[in-house]
Amino acid sequence: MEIKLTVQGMLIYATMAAYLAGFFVCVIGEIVGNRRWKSVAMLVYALGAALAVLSFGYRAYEVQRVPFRNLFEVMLFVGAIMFPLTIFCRRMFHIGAEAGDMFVGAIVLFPSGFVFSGEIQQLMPALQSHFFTPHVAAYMISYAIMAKAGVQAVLRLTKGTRHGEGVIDYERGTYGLALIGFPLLTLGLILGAWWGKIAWGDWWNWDPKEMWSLASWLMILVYLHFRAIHGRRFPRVNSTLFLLGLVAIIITLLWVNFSSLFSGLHSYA
Amino acid sequence: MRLNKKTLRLVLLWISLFLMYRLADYSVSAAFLGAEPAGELFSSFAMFLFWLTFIATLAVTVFLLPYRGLGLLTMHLGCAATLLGGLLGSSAAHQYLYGGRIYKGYMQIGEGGASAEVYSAEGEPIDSLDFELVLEDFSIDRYQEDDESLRWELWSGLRAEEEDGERPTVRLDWREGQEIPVPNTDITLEVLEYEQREIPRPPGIIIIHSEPDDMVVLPAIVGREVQLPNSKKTYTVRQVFRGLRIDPETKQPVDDPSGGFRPAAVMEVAVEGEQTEVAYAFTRELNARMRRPAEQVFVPINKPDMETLAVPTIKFRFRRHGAVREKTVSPAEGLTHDVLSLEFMYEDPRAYAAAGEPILAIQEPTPTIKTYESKVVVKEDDRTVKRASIRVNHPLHHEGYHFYQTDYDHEGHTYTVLSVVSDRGMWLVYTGFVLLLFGTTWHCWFGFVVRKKGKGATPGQEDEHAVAE
Repeated sequence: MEIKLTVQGMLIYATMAAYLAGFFVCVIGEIVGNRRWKSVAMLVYALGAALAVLSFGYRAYEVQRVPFRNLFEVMLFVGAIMFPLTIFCRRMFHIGAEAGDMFVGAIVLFPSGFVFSGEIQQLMPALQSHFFTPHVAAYMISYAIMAKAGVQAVLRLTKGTRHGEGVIDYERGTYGLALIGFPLLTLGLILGAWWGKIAWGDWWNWDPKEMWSLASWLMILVYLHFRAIHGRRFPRVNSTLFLLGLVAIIITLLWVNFSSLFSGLHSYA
Repeated sequence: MRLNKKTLRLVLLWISLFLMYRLADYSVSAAFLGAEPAGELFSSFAMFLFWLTFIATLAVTVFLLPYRGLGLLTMHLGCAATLLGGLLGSSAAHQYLYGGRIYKGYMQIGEGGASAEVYSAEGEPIDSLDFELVLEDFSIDRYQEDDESLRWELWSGLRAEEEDGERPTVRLDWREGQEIPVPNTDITLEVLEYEQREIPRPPGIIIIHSEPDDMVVLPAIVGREVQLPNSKKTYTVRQVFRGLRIDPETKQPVDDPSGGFRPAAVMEVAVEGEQTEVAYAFTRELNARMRRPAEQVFVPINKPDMETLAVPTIKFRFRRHGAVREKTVSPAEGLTHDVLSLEFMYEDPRAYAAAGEPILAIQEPTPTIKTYESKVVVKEDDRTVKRASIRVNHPLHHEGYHFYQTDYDHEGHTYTVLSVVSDRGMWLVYTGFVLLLFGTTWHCWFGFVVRKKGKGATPGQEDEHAVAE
């Protein structure tokens, strides 16, 4: 646990505070049944998002490259894309549960704010590649989308079919978001394998982080195939299968931090 | 019974579901094994059968799926192509299908030298290539570091009493005036003052190991001397060679720093009441070849692009349960590390004995390397066919092989190590990638998300017709 008394740290904490404030205002609004609270929450969320973009931009300026070098930096990215994702999914696909996104945004910034070191690190030769930015960006965007889908799945399991007005139901929300995120998850995997071939000579090195990423890709595929077989007949099974995939994704992302016993090629992130 | 298409598809889907689940399960188990055993597991004969089943299922699926859309078809075709490409590029395929063609190996080439020989990771010769690689130049580029990051690193660890030697060490992220805990102990430390001055960088250090518990380290600087604690032998450095070459005419050693020759030092050994002797310190490789245990080893610390070496003086404050001690540490001029035992913080050694004696090591930081570059020329029958610069992420591709920058001579920067990997199956894997990516994007985005958007539909709505219904 480390409190960062730096400009970067303050930006992270301010973003987290705004996201959490938005989340609580949203929840209270739902309890009292007043829709105005939601509008206020969205405003606070937007303010938090502006701070998150500033925070990511500040880091980029400080390190003079795309800040994707370690988990500290990529989490700042995930924190900054939550808001645009919320708006995009709401407008285009009528997917709701904005409060969930605010909460997820605060959670993903927590490690950057309190756990990971913000020490500036140089790019070692293996990371100096055209694959660096697209590989990480594809994965992070897809992870953010999958997290959003996870919120929908949890809501389906806890609240059933009682969703708000003007939004699609949680089961469809999970499936829709899984479909949006899956090509990016695939892109991340393929770019990683292709990069591995160019950097080390092997598509696949059986490195623990790679194995977990394959496992999470397969778990999402299991979910998609199960849904192709049964459609919406077993919504709770669908949601549970998706959440298992999401757990695998979280382990993939945080693997090196979970276990320093298993070192691998991805030991930098 | 008539096996209709719907039943067949259902059966196929359940088989695929099972296979995907199995593979996910194997992957998770493999993640706990670590990369090397995982690689062996996935390359075993049993797994080969699993892969074949997987590909066969995908192939059958491809023939049954066309009417369900272009995206699904290409996606599954892509998976099959990728896996098939992977099998064709495997070590087993090289052994059984391509008549023992080189699958993977390493080459070591000295600057100005040429080689066609490929070795295994264990250093056993495998085979030679039909062409030669000539190393024209090898170079290293480092990041420019600011003063802050050039300060010496602090590492904490436990010196174990048992035979198994050194325990894992942890690098401490330190700043002046900040109290930090020393891992595995109940001690905290604070750097009160940090100063460093630069001296010309010596070519190396000499490790003198007279008896198991009689060891000292001496900088390779002429005139410096040290006494071994137990045997009381005194070593004085008389000559230092950046590159030791024996002149063929005079038969005398000469210092030739032009490259290609290994560094060494000549010392005088004085034992009280006895005549002085002369001792040579060579680098480890040379000692190993001479097949005699070396009492003294020359460890080069010169780096072609670093002319100075910092000598730090660090004032520490240690705290443990209210006890406070201050200590100033400075390594001998010309050394790149120093070790401080933290034993003095304990009145009773039994307090730490179970875990091992806590130590604090200070060492010169290693600047992050920006690039390694090998400039090579490909020669076939003495004819130059290609020139290339091999860097990490920029391999050379020639005659079905990729050459990767893998390692180099860390001491003199005079040779490079390239890994050689056959490219069989590569184009099939690339084709698989393109198909898989096109398929998933088409199916998930354009098929459902984009195409249906105009009609006010939601993503995945078209998928409501489940196979089982």
